[in-house]
This record gives sequence, structure tokens and C-alpha cells, in this order.
Amino acid sequence: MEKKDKDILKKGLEETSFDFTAKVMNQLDAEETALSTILSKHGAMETSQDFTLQLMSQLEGKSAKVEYTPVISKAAWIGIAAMVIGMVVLIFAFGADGSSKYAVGDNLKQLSTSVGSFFTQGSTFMYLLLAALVFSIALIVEQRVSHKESN
Amino acid sequence: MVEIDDKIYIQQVLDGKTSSFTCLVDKYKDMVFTVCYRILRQREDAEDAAQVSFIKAFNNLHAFKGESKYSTWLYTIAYRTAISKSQIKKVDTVNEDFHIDIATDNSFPQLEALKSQEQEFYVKKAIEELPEIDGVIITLFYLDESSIQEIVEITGLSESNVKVKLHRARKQLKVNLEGLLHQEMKSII
Repeated sequence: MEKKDKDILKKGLEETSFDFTAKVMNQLDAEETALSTILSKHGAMETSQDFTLQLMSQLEGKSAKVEYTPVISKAAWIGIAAMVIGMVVLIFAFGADGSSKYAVGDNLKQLSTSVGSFFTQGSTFMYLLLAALVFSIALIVEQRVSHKESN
Repeated sequence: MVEIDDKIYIQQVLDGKTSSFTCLVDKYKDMVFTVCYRILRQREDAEDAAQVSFIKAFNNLHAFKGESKYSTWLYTIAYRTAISKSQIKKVDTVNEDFHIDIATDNSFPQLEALKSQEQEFYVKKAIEELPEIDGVIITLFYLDESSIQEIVEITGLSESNVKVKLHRARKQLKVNLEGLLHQEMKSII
């Protein structure tokens, strides 16, 4: 019943002209275009004439180039290399039984024997290894600290 | 094409050719300055903020990953720099930049008859009457033709907030610039 009433009332609605929607949309579009035109014509601000010059003078001598610095510095690598060389020299010098019967420069065949026996001389090797580790860590830490400070 | 140019200049700057940064400064300085001016409303402060923004951009250029447009990234820096500067310094709202001898009251006359310089004065005045952030949004939307998404990225506001502010600002501008709009519409229709 209620639905029927509604349908009857709908028949009483006046109709707009066929191009009503188009006219409204055209009007809105024209307003938007006009606002856009006016704002882009008059809305922008300009910097002073020497803006770029002033700015670039502030950037003079600076570089945006990213300088990558190694995590382990050259000094640390030299230290580590010195440690390794030192250990190899010690291995050759002390030999299999801990005496210095092998002169530096002996053939490589004896090297494996020397290394094996050196490992068995637990305390000497461990002290050396520990010292080398502490030295390397100290170098790396020092390098990282100085790198952070420089940044 | 525009973005490719930017990428070329950025790469050159990152390779150590600082002079290429001039091209990027020249291209974006007015827009960066305008964004800062909308917030700070004083020419000197805005120019300072614009310079600081470019220096920040230069120093952090290696951090620009190219995920958004360079302009969007740069305007984000400018917007934040201006906002933090405005929070530090209380902005004097008296405008000292316009010295042309025309009506100084707050009314917006029928703009049809105005000359170009006067039209510019009233357009800028109408934008300045908007809240600072609304002014930035209008500037980015109409002058830079930034998308809503880009404005969201620059201002850090939500999308719905940007849309509401844009609608409100547009409505106020249409009221304030009614005369000038009619004149412009006549030429369009």
C-alpha cells in the first residue's frame, strides 16, 4: 500500500531538461579550470635573484659523494698480517720438538710436522693465539671508534 | 622525461659533480620557497628555510632511493623544515612583502577590472587567508599538480584529511576570488 503511494508521488516529479547534468558538470569544470588557471598564473612565489648563487657558495667544497671506508683499517690488516707472519716464523723456528733445529727456509714437508707439534705445545700456542686475537680485536675496535668520531 | 633528468643530475652529484646540483636548485627553488612561505609567511624566513632544505637534500642525497619523485622528497624536507622553523619562531602575521599602493583593507573587490599586478596581490592575499597547511595543500595541488597521494606523503596527513582541507580551501578561495573567477570562466566557456 505504502509502496503504491510512493509510486504515485514519483509520477508527480518534474523532469529537468535532458542536458541538465551536463550543464551542471560543465559549470563545475569551468570553475575548477578557472581557479586552477588563476592560481597557477598568480599563486607562485619567486626567490631572490641570487638565491642559487648563495646556496651554491654554501655548498662549495662539499661533496655528496659517499666515501666508503673499510670496516677493518689498513693498519689493522697490517697488524693481522704481521701476526700471521710472526706465527709462521715461530713455527719454523721452534720445530717439532720445541727446539730450533729447523732453520727458517727448510722445506715445506717439514712444515706440516712443525705445525702439528706446535699445536701440541698447548700453552705456548694458546698464549700466542690469545695475544694475536686481543691485538686484532683492539685494532678493529680502535678503528671503529675513530671512524665514528670522524663522522 | 622530467624525472629522468632529475635522476641524471642526482647521479652526477653523487659522483662528486657538485655543480650539477645547480640544475636541481634552479628547477625547484620557487616551489620549495613557495611551500616554505605558505608556512612561515615572511620572505626572509621562507628563503632561509628554503636554503636549509636544499642543503639538507644535498647532504642526504645518497639516502634518496628514487621510490618517489625527487620533487616529492624535496618538498617533504621543505615542509618539515618550515614547520619546525615556525614552531621555533613565533611568526609575525603582519605581511610586509606587498608594497603596492592598492586597497589595504581585508575586502576582496570585484576583480574584473584589476590589472595583472593587482590580481596577483589579491590571489596571494586570498591564499594567505587560508590556514598555513591548507595554503601548502592548495599550492601543491594547483601549482605543482601534485596528486593527493603525493600531498599525503609530503604533509604526513591522512588522505581523508588532505581531501577535506583541499575541499575547504577551494571553497574559500572560490568565495574570495569570485570576481576574478567569473572573468576567467567567461573566457573558458
